[in-house]
Amino acid sequence: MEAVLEQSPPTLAGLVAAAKRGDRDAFRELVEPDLAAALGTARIVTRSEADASDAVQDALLSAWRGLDSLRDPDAFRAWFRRHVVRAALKGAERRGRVVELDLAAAAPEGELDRALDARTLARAFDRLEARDRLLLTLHHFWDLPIAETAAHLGIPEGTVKSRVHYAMDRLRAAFAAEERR
Amino acid sequence: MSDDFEDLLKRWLRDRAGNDRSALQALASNVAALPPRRRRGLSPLASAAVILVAIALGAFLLVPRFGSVGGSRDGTPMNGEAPTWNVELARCGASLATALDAFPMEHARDYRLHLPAMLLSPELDVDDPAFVVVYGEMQPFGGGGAAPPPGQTWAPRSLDPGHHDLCILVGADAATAELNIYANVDTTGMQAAVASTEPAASRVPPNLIPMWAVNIAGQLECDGPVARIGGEFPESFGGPDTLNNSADDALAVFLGPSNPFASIPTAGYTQLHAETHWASFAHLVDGRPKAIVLLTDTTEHGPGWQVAGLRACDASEFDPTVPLTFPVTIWTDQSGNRVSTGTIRSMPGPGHCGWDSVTWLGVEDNLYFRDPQDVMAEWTTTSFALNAQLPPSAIDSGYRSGGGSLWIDPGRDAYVVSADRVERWPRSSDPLIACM
Repeated sequence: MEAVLEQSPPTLAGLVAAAKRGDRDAFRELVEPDLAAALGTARIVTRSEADASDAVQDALLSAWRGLDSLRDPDAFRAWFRRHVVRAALKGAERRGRVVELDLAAAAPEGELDRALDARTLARAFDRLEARDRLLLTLHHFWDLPIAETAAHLGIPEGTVKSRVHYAMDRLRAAFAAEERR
Repeated sequence: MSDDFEDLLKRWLRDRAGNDRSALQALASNVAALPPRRRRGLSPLASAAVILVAIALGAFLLVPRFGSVGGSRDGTPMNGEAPTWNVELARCGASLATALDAFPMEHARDYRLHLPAMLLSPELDVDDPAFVVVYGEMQPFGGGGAAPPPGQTWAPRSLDPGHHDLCILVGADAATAELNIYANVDTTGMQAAVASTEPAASRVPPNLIPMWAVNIAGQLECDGPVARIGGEFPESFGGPDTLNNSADDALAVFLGPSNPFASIPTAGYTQLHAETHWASFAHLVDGRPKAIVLLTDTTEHGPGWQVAGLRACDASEFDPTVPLTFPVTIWTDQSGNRVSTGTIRSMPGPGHCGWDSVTWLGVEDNLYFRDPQDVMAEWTTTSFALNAQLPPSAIDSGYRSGGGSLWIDPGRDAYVVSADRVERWPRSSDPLIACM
């Protein structure tokens, strides 16, 4: 009779250890759940599909190379996000790039009011500085706790709250200005 | 209003962040093409040290505490075999448990061979042997490598991805070697062992960055603010494919058609400074530097000259007879004085979006198009007209260019009035429009 060995799913620690040994499949398994959010965030912050893809690729490479600096495997997700944040900001600040606002994508058929709001919001949002865009993305899209947002941005927790507040004020002002156009 | 607006923002962020499945799959499959990982554990020498220390510790536990132990007071074995680096680690406030890596350098000046991404550190450009300790966590000495003032603590900080704190001891005797602490060093490409430590003349890192190369913006004589283009040394302006045989060649290539920086003069540069490995050139107007390009032949890309710094005044301050690297038109005021491009500028539309038939005119926060082919119709509510009627609400802006004067109908279009016609330049509904 054949013995059936039941394999338990790999743990986070096991995957991180395997990735540190150079196992790309393990690394892929680690990053794959966060790739969609990473790419979406990078697109919002860089305002460019191509730059977003480059930024996530940069984040993957820097995380892969820097795995040895990750001491706590349980912190992998937050640690990888930090690479994404850094790469996205770098992409946004890249010199000489100009971007096209992808307004068509924000206008689904049959939802005219929402589409108009979305179009206005897109213009308003893209008027914000890259750091404001990132901050609002971390706060309202990733729904990160204040503490983790603070860690990503390297600022005190209290500063996160006030910056989110001011960024929202700026966004509202930009939205109102766009509505008056 | 607040909740509704936040809900709208959240929905929009979700829509905007929504991903094309194929893009995600492409990224995921790129993981398979990542380069092999080079483990950044202890180097072979340091690993050997771990074993030696374990043996020494075992021996220490087995012999009488006050007996004759075969080692020196600092723990270095007396048998002349491989050192344990105990002194070096202790000087750096590290231990084998807290150091991520540790390795000797034959010469301190080799630091960029071992740590290619480390910024230039002139204090290491000496022949003395050196020893590097890479901390696993933050360096233990607090801010500035020193203890905080009494009653105070250093502010918390964090390391960037791929960065580590380093300790580099310079000197043959670890006990007296000069201690250098470096915070948040990019350790990309770090290697404990390097092929050769004897530098070739063409690859030697600069012994000292000349003082004149440190702050080129400070050497400009601008009437207005320094333009937000370029950067100071060691800003990167190109890869290995942009290396040249001489500083002059590198400058000529930099100012050529592929120059990524709009609005710097294509010619008319005078050499400001030159010494071994370094040169700088300035675009002078009435003897005043308005743009400075710094070059060096000691970049991390290997032998060859390359631009390493660029700072410039606004394009309106350059010699008007010299073409710019990108054809920005400088407007004048009614007295004929050239106006800053921060206030008004016009330029051809980006060709890669098929907008090169258009002239873009930016006036403060507004954008107007001279668009005879109506290719920008999506962003305008009126169209270009070659012979328009100047509306009574239009106001003379006072700006002039090529025999035309610019009139603005507030909130609406711009009009360029010349001797024989009035052109209407429609206003863009989006002043931030750009081309990907």
